[in-house]
Amino acid sequence: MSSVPEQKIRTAATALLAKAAQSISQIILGKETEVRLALTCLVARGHLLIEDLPGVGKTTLAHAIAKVMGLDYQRIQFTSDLLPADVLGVSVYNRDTAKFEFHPGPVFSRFILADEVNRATPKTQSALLEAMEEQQVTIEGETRELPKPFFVIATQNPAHQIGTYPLPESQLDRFLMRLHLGFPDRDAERELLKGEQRRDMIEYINPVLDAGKLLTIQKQAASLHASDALLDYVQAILEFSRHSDKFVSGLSPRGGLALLSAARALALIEGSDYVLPEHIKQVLPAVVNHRLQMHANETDSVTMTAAAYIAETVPVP
Amino acid sequence: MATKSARLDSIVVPMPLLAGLVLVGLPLYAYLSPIVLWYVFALTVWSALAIIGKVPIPSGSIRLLLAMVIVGALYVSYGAVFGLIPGTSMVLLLAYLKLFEIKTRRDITVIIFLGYFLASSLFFHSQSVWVALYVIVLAIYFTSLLVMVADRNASTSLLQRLKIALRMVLQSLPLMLIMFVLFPRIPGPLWQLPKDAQSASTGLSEEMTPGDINKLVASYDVAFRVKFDAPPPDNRNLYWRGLVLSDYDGKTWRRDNAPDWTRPEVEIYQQAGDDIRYRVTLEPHQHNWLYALELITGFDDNYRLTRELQLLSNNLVSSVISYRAQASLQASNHGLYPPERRKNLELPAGYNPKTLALAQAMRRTAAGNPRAIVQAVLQYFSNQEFYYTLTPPLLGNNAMDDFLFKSRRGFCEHYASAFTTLMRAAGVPTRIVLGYQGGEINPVDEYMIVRQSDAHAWTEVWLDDQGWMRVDPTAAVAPQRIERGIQSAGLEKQYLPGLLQVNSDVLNRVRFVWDSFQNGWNQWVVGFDEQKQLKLFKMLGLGDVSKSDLMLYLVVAMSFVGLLVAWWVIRSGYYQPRDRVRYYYRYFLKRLSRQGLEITEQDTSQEMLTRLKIKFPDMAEQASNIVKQYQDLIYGQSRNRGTEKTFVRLVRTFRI
Repeated sequence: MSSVPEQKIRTAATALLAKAAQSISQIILGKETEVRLALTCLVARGHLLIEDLPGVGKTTLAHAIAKVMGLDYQRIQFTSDLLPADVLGVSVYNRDTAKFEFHPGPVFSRFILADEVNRATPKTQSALLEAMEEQQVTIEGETRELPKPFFVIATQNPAHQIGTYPLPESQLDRFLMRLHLGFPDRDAERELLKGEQRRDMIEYINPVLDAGKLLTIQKQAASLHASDALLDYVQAILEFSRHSDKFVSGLSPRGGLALLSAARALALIEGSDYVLPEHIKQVLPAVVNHRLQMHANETDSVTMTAAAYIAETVPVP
Repeated sequence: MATKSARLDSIVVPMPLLAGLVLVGLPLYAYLSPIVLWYVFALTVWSALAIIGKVPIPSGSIRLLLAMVIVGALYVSYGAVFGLIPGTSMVLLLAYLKLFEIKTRRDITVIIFLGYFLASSLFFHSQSVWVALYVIVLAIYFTSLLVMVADRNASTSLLQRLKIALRMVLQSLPLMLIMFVLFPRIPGPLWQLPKDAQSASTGLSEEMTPGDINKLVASYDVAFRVKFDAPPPDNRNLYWRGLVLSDYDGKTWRRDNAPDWTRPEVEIYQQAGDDIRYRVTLEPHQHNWLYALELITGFDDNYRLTRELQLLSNNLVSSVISYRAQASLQASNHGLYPPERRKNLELPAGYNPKTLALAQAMRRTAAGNPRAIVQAVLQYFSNQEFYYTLTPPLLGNNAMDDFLFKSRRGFCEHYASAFTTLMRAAGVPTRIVLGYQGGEINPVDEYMIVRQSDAHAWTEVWLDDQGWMRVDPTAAVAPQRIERGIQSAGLEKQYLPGLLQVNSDVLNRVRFVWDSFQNGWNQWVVGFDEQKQLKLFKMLGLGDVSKSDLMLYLVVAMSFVGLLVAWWVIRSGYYQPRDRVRYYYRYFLKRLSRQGLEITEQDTSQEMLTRLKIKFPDMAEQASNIVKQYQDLIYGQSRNRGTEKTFVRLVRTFRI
């Protein structure tokens, strides 16, 4: 049983996150679910990949989250001639002090929007992805810690567009979630057309959290109770993904951890004292779909995603 | 998480099921009447076609009609619907019909259990090693079908299922052995089989018409096996007495069926100390008499001995039985009751005038001395041109005249018949004894095998000073038959059983080993009766055990095995104790799904609740409370006895 003060703190965290979600949803209209999942990803200390067409509000979403969370925000536009040094930083010779001085690159901020990440060359991509994984950067033999919390939203154009270097599966695995934003529905679109420029609105919204509070919330999420029954369900999903002949290969142990930490974060956002199978099911598409490749010859793979297939097949224990 | 209805593809399972019915039916075909056999054949073809979709599955009313037609056909061909053969036929045919109405897994299970039942019913017809092996194969096959039914995702191949089934059958062996050894035996058969059981049996029948026994000689079947306590007597002394025939109508000899109990006691005179003790294991022959070595001086209490020294059982011998008896070569029977004397002098009037004249002539020559008459007749047989043959010519109305004066070719029953007729005509009480003569020692297990080919008929003559004296007229014609056995009697080889014709050491050895194996099966499996059971316990040093002791041992042994299995299951982690909370939650879901709420195993409780709120808004509050409590217990940290009880109460008080 959780003690009373602990529960109070948790309730406070839930309230703050609800407020944050509400603020963001004022700017990104009609995308409550995606906003909620993006926040979940942040709370779970994961990185987010948004894959969609240009102009559906990827950048605005990232910007809004950064603002509401009170994190310093850097945007890196990935292009085919971007070099790793442009991301990580570079040492420059200072004639006054007669020393090399390190000029940190944009990666040294708490919140990074890596826009159109699949337009850069694999070398530059991997520079960023390694930083994401290690939470540190090693340049010229010196290891530098990245600030905490550290959150990357990468956006990606659909793979079939011209001039893209699609991320390999091994690197996709480093993103906790992948989201599609999609077009807004009719009402949201109408409001979008009537209202102000969204980017301007961001200027007016107030931060709800700051780096310190976010760190505490992340810690709380990570310690949320996950019962044996729930772990049974997670393991059933992992086992099914590994044994089913529908998938090219199963979920990795990292995939399993990702599923659990995302579900924990969602449980915290929903104000639950423990993780439920519902939470697993809600984060399942975002966490699993980019990790599992379905066999091309499966006729029903056109209509059904890996997550939907799992949710329909694996019994809840 | 709960109840998905157990519907299934009607195509996948029935073919193996049909195969199972065909397999279990095969050995029964020999016993079925032609009409029923046609029904079986037609239903097999019909259901096979229906399964592969060539013909539609018959509707309910047609099935009902078929069932009635089947019952009618059984009644017409057997005159009954109950009884062994009609009963098994009915179960078999209705199992075929059941194939047409498979809707749920339970229907399949029903057919499989009918299969098990039919398989075990094969033992009513025969209890041989072969049948036992076949039944085991069937048990494995039907178990593999059960595995198939239980395997809901159809994730196993035929071979895998057979392997699992084989393992299960092997695992059941210890329990089977315990039951076999410890289950209390009841003396005599457990229940009386209906009369139609095993109508086709080989062996001696209740009456004798010349020509009966030489048919038997072609059979290599075992009649019975004997284990002597001491070395067995010579072949010429091995007269296995079966039944005594006194009634003669000119053609057929029959038993005297006057009630036995009206007669005085048996009178056997015996010298002390020359008893031959032995145990007989008799193959079923569907009659109530037993075979015993002449002259019988002792036998088991549960049988009775008639005045004519026939050893009888109270029941028909329809399964292998085993009994002890003793005999003395010097003993003699001195019982002759006046009506018996009359009976054993009777001849049908008006038949065989030449034979009667010959008898009168012999009587005169011998001056009425019975011993001399016997000698005269035997000399007549050996001096005249009489032949011992398996292919005697047919005899006319005056059979004895034809035989004695025309054909002069005959088998033991001809000689016994002619001898008895002559002796009776000469005024000496004489009767025919049917049984076996001889026997072959199996060197492998030292059992003596007596076969149907050893069937024999001989006679007994009453001498006032000596009692009944055995006279074997065949010995006068073919002494080798009595001295060395049927295969040395100089008979036409082509009419003897194939195996008796061959003179090969290797083949003989194989034959003996195989026979000793069959004998072992009879002694220790089929014939494992109360006596053997008690003997086994004595050998194990448990002393005398009563039936209630046996029951106790049985319960203890079964519990021991049960505990062993339980310990193994718990240790291997297959077993999870029942969770009260989950149990009651499942019960809650079951009630909801009975109300028509769609619930699948893949649903989370929240998803179920969402659907419930739409379908039954009235229940929403109660149900959300239950779901909340369930989540708290299973996924939260608040589980204790109190919260469990609250939950159980909530579910129990849930009203739809």
